[in-house]
Amino acid sequence: QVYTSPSRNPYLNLAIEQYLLRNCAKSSTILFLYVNRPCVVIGRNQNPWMEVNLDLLRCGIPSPTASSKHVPVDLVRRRSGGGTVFHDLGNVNWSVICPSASFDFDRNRHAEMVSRALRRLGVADARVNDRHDIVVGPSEKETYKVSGSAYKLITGRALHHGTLLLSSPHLPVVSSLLRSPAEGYMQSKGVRSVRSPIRNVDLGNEEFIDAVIGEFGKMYEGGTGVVDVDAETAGEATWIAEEMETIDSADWRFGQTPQFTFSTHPTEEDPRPRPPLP
Amino acid sequence: MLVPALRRQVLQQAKYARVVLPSLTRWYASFPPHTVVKMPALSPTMTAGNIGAWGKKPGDSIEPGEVLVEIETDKAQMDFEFQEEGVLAKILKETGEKDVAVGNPIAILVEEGTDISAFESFTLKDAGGESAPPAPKEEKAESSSSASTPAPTPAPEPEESGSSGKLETSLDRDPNISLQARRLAAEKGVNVRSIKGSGPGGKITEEDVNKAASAPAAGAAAPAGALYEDIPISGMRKTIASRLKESMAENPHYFVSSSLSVSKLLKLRQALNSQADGRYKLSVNDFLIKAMGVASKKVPTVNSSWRDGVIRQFNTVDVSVAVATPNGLITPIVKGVEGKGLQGISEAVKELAKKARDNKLKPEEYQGGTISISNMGMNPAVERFTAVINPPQAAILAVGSVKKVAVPVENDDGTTSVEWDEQIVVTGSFDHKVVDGAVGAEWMKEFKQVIENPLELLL
Repeated sequence: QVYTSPSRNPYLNLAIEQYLLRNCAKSSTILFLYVNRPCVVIGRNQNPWMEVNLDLLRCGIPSPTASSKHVPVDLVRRRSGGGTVFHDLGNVNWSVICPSASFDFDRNRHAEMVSRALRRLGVADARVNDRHDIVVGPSEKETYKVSGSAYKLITGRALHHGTLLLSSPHLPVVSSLLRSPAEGYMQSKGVRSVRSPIRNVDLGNEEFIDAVIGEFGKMYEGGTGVVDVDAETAGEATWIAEEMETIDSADWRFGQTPQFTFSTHPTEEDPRPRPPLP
Repeated sequence: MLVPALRRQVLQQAKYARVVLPSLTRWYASFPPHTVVKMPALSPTMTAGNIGAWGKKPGDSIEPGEVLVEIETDKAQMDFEFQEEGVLAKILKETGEKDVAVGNPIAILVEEGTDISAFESFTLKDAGGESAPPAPKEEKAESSSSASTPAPTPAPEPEESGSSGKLETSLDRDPNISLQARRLAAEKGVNVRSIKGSGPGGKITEEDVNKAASAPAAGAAAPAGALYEDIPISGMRKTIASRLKESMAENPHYFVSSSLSVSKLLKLRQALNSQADGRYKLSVNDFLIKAMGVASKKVPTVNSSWRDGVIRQFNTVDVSVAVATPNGLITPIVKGVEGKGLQGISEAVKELAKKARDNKLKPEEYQGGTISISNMGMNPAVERFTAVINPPQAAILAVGSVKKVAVPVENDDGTTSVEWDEQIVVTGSFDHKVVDGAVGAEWMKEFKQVIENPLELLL
């Protein structure tokens, strides 16, 4: 079963994703594809102050068309693990929900599926690396990340989702957005992101979506067609509305950060020299 | 006046005692009956995880299926649902703790009605201590020799402790080491007990750990590099080790060797293959398997298994074929050999070997079997060898490589001359519990008969 979402609202899309994870048939395999408006998405156990330049986020990023205008950027904490990524209209998110037994055998299964879709579209060097990312690049030494993965497991079900940088206009600003000036002062028990150089694959959203649906259909025969989720009715469904409210709250966004310390001078537990204060 | 002096002395003693003797002040109070909750393996490959948000706090009761704590490992976020009833008594690993190895204690659970406050002073040591997560796949760098030093040995861990108290000896006491340094030691694979502390009161600091980690590397850092390489033992290796050890211990092996003339067999094989038209390609192994089927039908005692109280004599011959894969040895089974023709056997063997190498065998494809064959004939250096019986089977045939042997031949006119014959030496290993010497020899005779006169396969 394949679903797509016409909405660009990251909270709604993530809520729909969770809804699909928790409420669909236990033996089913589902593909959900969605695109978000510009936002930075951190992992469940990450520390936003360490991962993101919140100042820059608040100001918004320069619009690609009119450099004086600024595009607002959301900060979203997702429910799956892993690191921090940047989403925008040139990035397509793919999400596969399947029984956890088949997941346990192969974490790369669906990343491979998406790689195949890319190769079919002419990106010949698309491949999956050890961190379950999809990379392109002429050699082992020179690779660029185009997709990062994260997972969420519940009883009997597994969610594997990833991003795909197709034609993001904001690539140059991503690295400064994902670098926090507070990093040197903090020590965190949260999950740290692993940085990689990124690149666009330079394909259109539609053709990519079609290719992934194609590969998914090949892997799981007997698909029941693509369902376009009706954003309005989805938003109204109680479960989804509540979920949206939860993930859009400060309590979830910031309050779920694991323990960390912040100090402007070296301490016994953290004797690293501090960067000069601004 | 004397009192403060004495107290100072006792305190002094206590300070040193932390390093050398067990602390005189901390005997273990007896704890009420409790269960130690350990870090679960939430996927088959998980070795360690990070503790996320706790779903319950001490004092909360928990029902089966409720989320106790969230765990993250390698980008996967998982809810640990506890499957029993109880009350959370103490959390041993707080949110944010990283790299907690699977099997290490993370919390304490008690039954409803138990006094929780008794556990306030409960520590990890009371739960049995912890071990560092297994070292990652080793790299070829200079520091590999230090990374290969075994992780600190885990303290004995009781699953459930009774109401009797425990006294700890100085040997089990954790060394005087800061949390930071301990984590660093775990990361570098350095045994904390072997480090001498240089901090206050003999405390082991991060510097000490770093020195300890690099010292062995520095010593071994000759131009040649590390002196040895510790290869982690894979699951497959462990299985092979335990099963074959068991076999050697339980089965009184004896061996019967025979030199078989395979000239006729090779000719028949060539003839059949030349007519194959791509439908099949027979190998010598296929003939051997078929012959094993025939011999085993004629001497069914060999096609048996020692079970509890009975010897199970099988009516079908399922031959386990030893296949060497990059991961190790595995024995997929060709079932019902006595009913299959050479072509059928050939196809089955090829398919199973491919699956074995791709790691795609299903359990029923390699578990079972009534007799085994191990063929080293493709290695010309191997003339003959003896194989280990696969439990619970009673026999295995070890096949050497083909050799040209000069044999005397009687000519029609009464003179003797020499001919070249192609021979293989096969050695059968038999379990004397099931197969007596004469029976094993009988089987070998039947086997030899069929191999040397392969047309008898038609009978």
